[in-house]
This record gives sequence, structure tokens and C-alpha cells, in this order.
Amino acid sequence: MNLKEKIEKVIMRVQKPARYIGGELNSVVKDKEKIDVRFAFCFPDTYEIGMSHLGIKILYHILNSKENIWCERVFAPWFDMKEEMQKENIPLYALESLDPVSDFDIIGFTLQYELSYTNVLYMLEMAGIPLYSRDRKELKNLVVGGGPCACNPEPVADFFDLFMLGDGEDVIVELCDLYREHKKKGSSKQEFLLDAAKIEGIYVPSFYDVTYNEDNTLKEITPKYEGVPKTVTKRVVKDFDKTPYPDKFVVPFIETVHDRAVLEVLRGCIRGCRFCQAGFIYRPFREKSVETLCRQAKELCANTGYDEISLCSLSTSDHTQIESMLSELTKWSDKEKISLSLPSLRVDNFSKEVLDGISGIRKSGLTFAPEAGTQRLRDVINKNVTLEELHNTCRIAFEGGYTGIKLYFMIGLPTETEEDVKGIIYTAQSVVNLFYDLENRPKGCGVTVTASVATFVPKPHTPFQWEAQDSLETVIHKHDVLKGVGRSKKITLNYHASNTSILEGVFARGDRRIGQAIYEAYKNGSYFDSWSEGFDFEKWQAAFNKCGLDMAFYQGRHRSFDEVLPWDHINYGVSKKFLERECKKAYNAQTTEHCRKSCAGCGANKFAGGACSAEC
Amino acid sequence: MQNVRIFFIKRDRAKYISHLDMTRLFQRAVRRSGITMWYTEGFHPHLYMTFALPLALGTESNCESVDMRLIDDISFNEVKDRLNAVLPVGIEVIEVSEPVMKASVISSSMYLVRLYGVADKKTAMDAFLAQDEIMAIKKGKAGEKLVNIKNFVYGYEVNADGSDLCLWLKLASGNQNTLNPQLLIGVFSQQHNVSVEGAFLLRTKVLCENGEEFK
Ligand code: SF4
Repeated sequence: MNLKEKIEKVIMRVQKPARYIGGELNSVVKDKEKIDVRFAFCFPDTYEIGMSHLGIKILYHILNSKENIWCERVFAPWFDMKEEMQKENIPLYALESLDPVSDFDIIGFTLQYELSYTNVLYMLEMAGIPLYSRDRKELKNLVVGGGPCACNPEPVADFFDLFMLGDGEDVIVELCDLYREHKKKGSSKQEFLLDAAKIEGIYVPSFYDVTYNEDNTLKEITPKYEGVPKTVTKRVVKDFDKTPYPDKFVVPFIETVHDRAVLEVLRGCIRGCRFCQAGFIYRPFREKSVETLCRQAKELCANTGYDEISLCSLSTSDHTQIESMLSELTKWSDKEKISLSLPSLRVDNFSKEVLDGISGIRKSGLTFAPEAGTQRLRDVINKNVTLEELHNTCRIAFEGGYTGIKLYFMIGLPTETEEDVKGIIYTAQSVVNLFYDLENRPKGCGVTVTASVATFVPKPHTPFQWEAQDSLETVIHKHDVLKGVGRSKKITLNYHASNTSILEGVFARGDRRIGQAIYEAYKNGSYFDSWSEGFDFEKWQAAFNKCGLDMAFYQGRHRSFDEVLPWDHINYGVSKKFLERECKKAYNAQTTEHCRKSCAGCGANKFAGGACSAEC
Repeated sequence: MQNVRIFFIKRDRAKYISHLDMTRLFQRAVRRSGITMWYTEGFHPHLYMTFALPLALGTESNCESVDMRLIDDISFNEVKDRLNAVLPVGIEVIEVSEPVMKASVISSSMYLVRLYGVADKKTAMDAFLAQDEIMAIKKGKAGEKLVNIKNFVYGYEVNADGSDLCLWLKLASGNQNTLNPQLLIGVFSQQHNVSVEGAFLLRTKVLCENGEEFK
């Protein structure tokens, strides 16, 4: 029985067979005899989650636009499918060819969230590929990684042959080209990696020695060989506006999490909110022209048949041409009966014009993120939003007919006090009061204010990278404080205390030793950790104990500014000095202006292709 | 406005697309084709479409059909070509025509079933299908019920073909009664302890009460 027959034999036994068989519109099938490099793009989560992710669509498109490369998709089989595959000896396979992943030259994982790390091991094992880089001797089956978590890849460094840092569009093609050359020459894996390490943005973890101090902190991370850079700098695409963007997406048969066209409007962020990793690691700010955006939106909808398109960015309203962009796009979307959604709006520059631009299209609800409950704490985190601005925006929204507002907050932020925690409820209450004080509020219906409270996890490459993270007990205590504040029935309060954020915190700032615990936990049955079906904290505690590692050392410990951090040799453009400055300003509740007002000297302006907005 | 009946085949990997997902698939295909079809009116307008018969997940078909209302003044052939240019692999429009019959007159379907590697079970299959009673649990609107599904087998033929067992089945289809061939061969596989997984199932014809093909 060939593999396809075996797959067909089992998939009728599992939930949603269409997850496992490919064949979707716009999926790319090539003649493998004519291909030099076969690339298995692995998303370490389910089909529905992976297919909703923009990065995979962009890179799939770019790789497949090259004649000699064939990129296919691989997702993590859900528990039921895993069982069936094991029963029938079906290895992990790619969706386009249905060939085993072990047939592929390069196996690439995108690391979008820390809790997907065990799924990398799970997928490698299902593919029959050794988990540790050192156990894979051949050039074939090169295991590479990328995505935001690559900004501190140390916890998974031992499993990967190399990481691509920063924007993937250019470097992934350079990697494949280099691979082809070496494959032709019959090079060894080591020869290839030595050359790959010379490509800007490529980090080969096995080429570095890591030493530790007696107190368990890092001593040094040093290159082992000549020609291997001491620090690896992330890649930034040369011209964001002209960088290839897919004109078609693979259109899934089954419903996925984000089943719509997605248009990336801009990359990077000018704001500098101190808790936000994305706001730093994607710097500098770059945007597409209105013309490019309109063309890409039209092409995408025409080629996919989607009747919904969402604009994707860290802060869409920071586009310098936001108003003409929205008016051009709505002109087209109205005519084509396409619904346009705008997920990330900021509170401070939300004008009536912007609201008009999106009204009539989506009146379901608006979301805003004040993030903290008091002005002092908002200043600490550099979320430059005042209560007055929030009220202004809410007033415009209410007067425009909206009756539901969702507010996002965090607890566990540095310097937080009980007053700050209570302030979350006070802020939500003030929005409710505002509604009832309005004379021209929407009649006949009440207001609903939802306050969603997340738990802060300090991340690398941010001004809070040195901070201690709250323990679960502290988080639960703060939730009690929240509950203790009297509030109107119009406020829905959402919060959730979970050990998942503890583990996330450990991985986010972990060093290379953590890899052992990930391996142990995986071997002990941990995978799909971002799902309640998979997460079992006891298994993790057992794994850390077995390895003699302390979670609190990574997650609950305040670090000094002069400590060597596991990601000090990884340069994302923002300098450690800048982050230190920002951290000290945070302690004094001093804000930093956004990049368009003045340059704070983060260092990201040195990348070609990312001219920063202010005179730096 | 013109009522059109779009006949299409659903083969190979497309057989894993559920009936519900077919609706979305055709909505998007129509958008991609640029053909103007009629949308329902009201608060949430959607593309008007009705499928003649559902098809079970995992079964292929040569004779599916969906009705829509064409607004553009274009030929049936053009509708066919423009849809085929934008449909995913495995789904192909074979004919577009004016509906002749109402879907309510459909009463049965012909299926070709190939069970791999079990040619030696021919006698057992003959005997199985010759029984007066084949009891099975059927899932219906009112929940699960034990029924004699033999009542819904209107005709059959069993042949050995090399190492495979081939069946021609005429089974009830439509509003009144419906029998999914997967249920029938599932009961056989249980009773005779043979694996029929990965079996090839193909609907070849949709028939009306008077024996005519549905048009
Ligand atoms: S260099 Fe200056 S303007 Fe550019 S991103 Fe950094 S802080 Fe902002």
C-alpha cells in the first residue's frame, strides 16, 4: 500500500479528514523530479491555526515562485490522527505531495509562541527524524527555524541546525540557494553550515560555546570558529513596499480560525510600549503605499473568492496615509460587497473620519487596549494614552452607534500596586458612566464594557527583559483584588490564571539548558501545550526537577543590567543600552515619545530599507 | 434571471470536502469566476444555491448538482468554463443546463463500490445482500434508530475483479429514504470481519421515481 492509500484508509476515522489531505485551491503542486530543493514548511500546531497564519502564506508564496524550489505545508496531527498514524505506520507527511517529511531537504518550523516548542519535537519524531541537531549527520533533513520566538532561540537551540532571524522573505531564498549549491557539490552538513553562518540573519547555534557562572547565570557565549559572527543581526527586507506579497492564498475547505484575506499594511511600530515584544523586534517601522495596498487587496480577493479582508499590522492607524487608505479601500470593498475589518486601532488617534471609514461595515464591537488601569502605570509601560483620550474615543464610538466596547488590560506589569489593579475596574466603570451621561447615546439599548485582563510575561528585547514575572499565587491574589472592587453589571470581567503563562515566561527568557527539560517533558508525553487537551503542568515540574532546573530562576527572578542574557549575541536592532535607558525611565514613570515625534535612538535606523520617520 | 442547474463531479481528494464546506466552496468559486448570480435579499444576503442531494464525506461522484440563479446574460457553456477555471482540483463542472425536474422526485442513486483485496469474499457478499433483513443503526433527524436497511437496497450486483470485490448498488436516495453505501459495507465488514477501509465509493447516477436520470 502506498502512503496515499494508507492515509486515505485512516482519515475517515478521525475528526475533520480535510485537515490531512491537502488539495485546496491555490495549493502548489510541482513535479518533484524537476526540483532542487524541497522545503517542508511546518507549523507546530493544528491545521486550522497554522492556515490562519500570515507568515506561512508569505513564505510559501515566495518559495514556490522559484522554479527549482517546492515548498509544502505540514501541520501537527491532532491526537486522534496521531493514534491512527502510529497504528498504520504512517510517518508525518506534507499536504501537497503526501510524501514523508523525511524526504525533504529542508524542514522549517515557524516559532510563533513558546508553548509550541514541544510540538516541534512531536512533529520531528512523527517524521522519524532525530530530535537533536547533533544526531542528524547528513545535510538532508536540515532543520531550520524562524518567527518571533527566534529572537531568543536558546531553549530550542539544540534541536535546530540554524535559525533565520528577522524578516524571512529574502533570507529564506538565500538559504535555499546556498543549500542547492552545497547539495550539488555533495558537501557535508558542517561545510554547509559554515557557509550559512556567513549569511546575514542566519544563526547556527552549534557554532557557539556557552559557559555559566557559579550562580547559574550566563558567563559567555562565544563563537567556536573563525568567520562565525560574535553577534548575529536580524534581517530586514530591503524595500517593504516592493517585497513580494502573495496574490493568492491557499483557500482551505474547512473553516479555519481566520478564514479570510489578510493584508499586511505595515511592519514595525513607532510607539515603543515597553511591554510589547513585537513593538521592538519588528523595528524599524515600514509601510506599504496606498497604491500597493489597493492592488494587493484586489488581487487577493479576486484570486481567493474571499468576501472578507482584514488589515493586519501592529497599529493600522499609524499608517501615514490612513485616511486615504481607508477611503480607497472602502470605495472598492463597497462596490465588491467585501467586508473590511480593522483589528488594531489605537485609542489616541481614532478620529471621526476613521470611524466613518469603517462604520457600516462592522458594527459588532470595538476593542481598545489601555493595558493598565492608572495613568502612572500607563506611563511606566509607555502606553501613551490618557483617560481623557479613551473617553473621547468611546464618546465618538457611542455617538456613532456602537454599544459594545472591549478593553484590554494586563496585570503583573513592573511597579504595579493594588491601586493599579483596582484602576482596571475604575477605568471600565468610567466608560459605562460616560455612556449614560451622553445625551445622544444610542437609544433603546444598554452598553456592554468587557474588560479582558491578561497576565504580563516579560519578553526578550524589551525594556522589561530584566524584570521578575509574577508567580501564579500573586496573579491569583491580584484577580481577587479585581473581583473585590464593586462594579456595574454592564461590565464583563474576563481573566484567567494559568501555569501556561509561567511556562511561557520560562521559555521566553530561558537559556540553552532549558532544552533538556523540553526534551524530558516531551518524552514524558507533553505536546500541544497551548491546548488544555495537552497541557499538564505536573509533567513540566517533573521534567525541570529531573534536569535540576528551577523555573523561578528563569521566570521569577529580577536580573541586573550587567547580567549576560541568553540572547545577548542575537541582535534585533534595538540596543541593550537603549532598552536599559527605557527601563530606567519606566521606573520613574517617564514616557518616551513615539518615533514620529522624536527618535529615542533605539538603533534600528541602521538597517537599510527602514528609514525611520523622525530625523534620527 | 435564469435558473441554472450545474452538474459537477467530485473526485479524488475533493471527496473529503463535507457538504457544509461545499456551500462555502461554491460561494467563493462564483466570486472568483466573476459571474453575477442572484443573492438572497435581506439583512445577510448570501448566494442562492441548493444542492439536489447531499453526498456522504468520503464518497466520490460523477453526478452532483447545484442550482443557482444566473443574472449575467451569458451562455451555459460560458458559466461552465468560467467556473472550471477557478474550481479546486477534483471538482469539475460537466454540464450547465436549465433544471428539468424538481429535486423532490429523486428516489435512488447508483453506486460503484470497490473493496480492495477481498475478492475471496464474493460468496459472503452475495449471501449478505440476499438476506431479507440487514439491521443497522441509522442516524436520522430524530436520533439513532435500528432499521432494516435492506428495504433501501433496490438492486445490486457483485463481481470479483482481480483481487478486488466490485459492487454495483442501487440505493435509496432523496427526501424519503436514504442509504449511505458506507453504512451497508460497514455492516458487512463487521459481520465478516473484513477491512473495507479506504474502499473506493462512487456515485454514478441519480435516478427519479420513474427510473429516469435526474436532469
Ligand atoms: S531609530 Fe529612532 S525613529 Fe527609528 S525606530 Fe528607533 S527610536 Fe524609532
